[in-house]
Amino acid sequence: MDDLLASDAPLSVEQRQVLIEILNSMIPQAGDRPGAGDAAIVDDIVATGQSQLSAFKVLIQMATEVGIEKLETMRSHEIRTVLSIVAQCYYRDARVMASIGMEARPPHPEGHAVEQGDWSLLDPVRARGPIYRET
Amino acid sequence: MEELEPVDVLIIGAGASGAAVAYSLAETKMRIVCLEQGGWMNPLQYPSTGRDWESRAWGDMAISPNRRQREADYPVNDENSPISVANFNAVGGSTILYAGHFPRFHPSDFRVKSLDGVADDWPIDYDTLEPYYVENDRMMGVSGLAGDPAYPPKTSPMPPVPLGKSGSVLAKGFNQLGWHWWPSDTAVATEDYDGRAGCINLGACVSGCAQGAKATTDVTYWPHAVRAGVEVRTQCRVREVSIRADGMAGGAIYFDANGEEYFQAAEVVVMACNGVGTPRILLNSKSSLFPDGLANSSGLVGKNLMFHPYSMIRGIFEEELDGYRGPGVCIWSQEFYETDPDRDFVRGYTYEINRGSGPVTTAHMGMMSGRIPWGEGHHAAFDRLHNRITGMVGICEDLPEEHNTVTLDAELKDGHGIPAPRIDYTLSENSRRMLDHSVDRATEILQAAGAVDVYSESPIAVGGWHLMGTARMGTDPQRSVVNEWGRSHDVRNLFIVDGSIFVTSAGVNPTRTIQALALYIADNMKKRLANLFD
Repeated sequence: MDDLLASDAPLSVEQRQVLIEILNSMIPQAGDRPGAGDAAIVDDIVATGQSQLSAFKVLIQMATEVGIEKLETMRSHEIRTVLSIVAQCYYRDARVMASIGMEARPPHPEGHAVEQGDWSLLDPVRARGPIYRET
Repeated sequence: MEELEPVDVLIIGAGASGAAVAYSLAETKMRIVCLEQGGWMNPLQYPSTGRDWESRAWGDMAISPNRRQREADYPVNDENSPISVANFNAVGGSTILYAGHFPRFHPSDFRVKSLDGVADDWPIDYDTLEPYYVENDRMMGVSGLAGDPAYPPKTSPMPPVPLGKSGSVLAKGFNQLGWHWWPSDTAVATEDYDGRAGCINLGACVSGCAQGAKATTDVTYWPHAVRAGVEVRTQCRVREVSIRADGMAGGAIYFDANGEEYFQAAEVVVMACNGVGTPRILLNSKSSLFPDGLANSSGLVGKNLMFHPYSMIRGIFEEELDGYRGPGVCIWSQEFYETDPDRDFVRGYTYEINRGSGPVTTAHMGMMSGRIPWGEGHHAAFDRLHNRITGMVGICEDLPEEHNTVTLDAELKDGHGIPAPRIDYTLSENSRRMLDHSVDRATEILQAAGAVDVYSESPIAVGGWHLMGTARMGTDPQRSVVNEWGRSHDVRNLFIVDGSIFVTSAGVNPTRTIQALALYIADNMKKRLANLFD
């Protein structure tokens, strides 16, 4: 009966609250960087993790049983699954991208600038001469 | 099952090799149809058009068909292999997801038996393929810099991709050790080329190029082939190639998008489905004439599977590098390419420098490895890694071994009930030693370049990008599946043009050679049209 929900929400209110605490313990708020438990980021995490909801529920259960502070040292499949989704969702949040020096936009269509570099670095390679094997 | 009007040439697979052979044969004005199990990709839907571009590499644009599970994909049982299969099924095939690293084979790669006493020599040589490399470079649009000391002289239609911060730092590391490096030949247009826009450094090459700068065959060969009259029939999955009573291939039986079954008769059948897809179809094409699978009197269809075992070595630097900006392709090194008797392995490998990674990939690696802790230390640890990681992969030459196989899985099937391929593969001791060597030397390079921390993975478990050797080329019908110009020894109107026909793998990405071979085989077909089946 623990999984019985009063709506079509994937997590109960209590489960979501525990999840927020877990996420904030993974990535806390600091300065202009929101915590991973920020409401918009949690929504993205839960939506992205729809197909792996069981991993979230196991993690929430573990947190309830052993305490959130113990989770980091427990490298279970469920924790790794959730960590992967957290990394994906947190670092595509517009506020987070801005805070790490990125423009909050997709790569296309503006692209990025990359410097040509110093092609004279090739001089010693050229000076060495051919290295391929004659047949 | 509906029988369709016969065609002259039926090509199965619209990827790297199918596109090249279709383009080349189109000038004959024969009726040519290509069956492709995927569809045309829409570049506006590629990941780089969204902020979730990195995440989609774990989902619908994953390199593993088992993870991706798009409708066009078929499952692969690769549980008995330390390296899992990576591919893509669409018009353009796996070029949709490749990085565009585009090296040629070397002259020595065709002579490994003569030079090093291992595997077999190819029945053709570098000089035979050279004009087809040139033609393929023109069609795909290759960028590079002439004068690479690791190769005989060659030129590229466009200048190389930029060195950038990452390439410059690593170049200094190589120079400090006195080791070879050179700007990579890439299938990335650095200028506008043949209707394609030049690279704008999106940094998302391996999940499809929304700019069209990366040379995927849906934007290179196929528009030319289609304009010349070739028909591409998409979402058509071939179940088997049929055989006529006279021992010639009769055509193919396939399912369309609605699951309807058709028989397409053809005078010539060309297999272009890669080193797993081609043996899968041939092995599934059993008959009284070929009870062990079509064109398999040698018993070698599906055997000698070669991947390139990959090592991945990354360094963490204090200075800011290119990170998420720029094509992943950058520079390469072939310092350890040729056999050296002082080493404990034969043959060698290429280093491909991979420029950097985006924030999600950085955070993912950091959180999984413990370099980025939970809690207060998270942000500072992330900042120490963000845009500060670069490194390389080592592509090791994989030698053919008959026990490495593609067979039909007894239980696993695709959405049309066709048996899925099963991979049985063991990493050889030679490969293990080569991988270890590549990790050790790369660590030295990264440290010489100033890395403060180095980490590695070897072999890359998900790195089965290159599928080769499972219908090998040769002059002896008992020791090979196709002859020296790609025609089946057993079935004289059946040709194979993909990586299946590789005799050895070399230590470089295979696509440029796969396509040069496809053009070479098509040219041989055209020259022999009057007596093609003699």
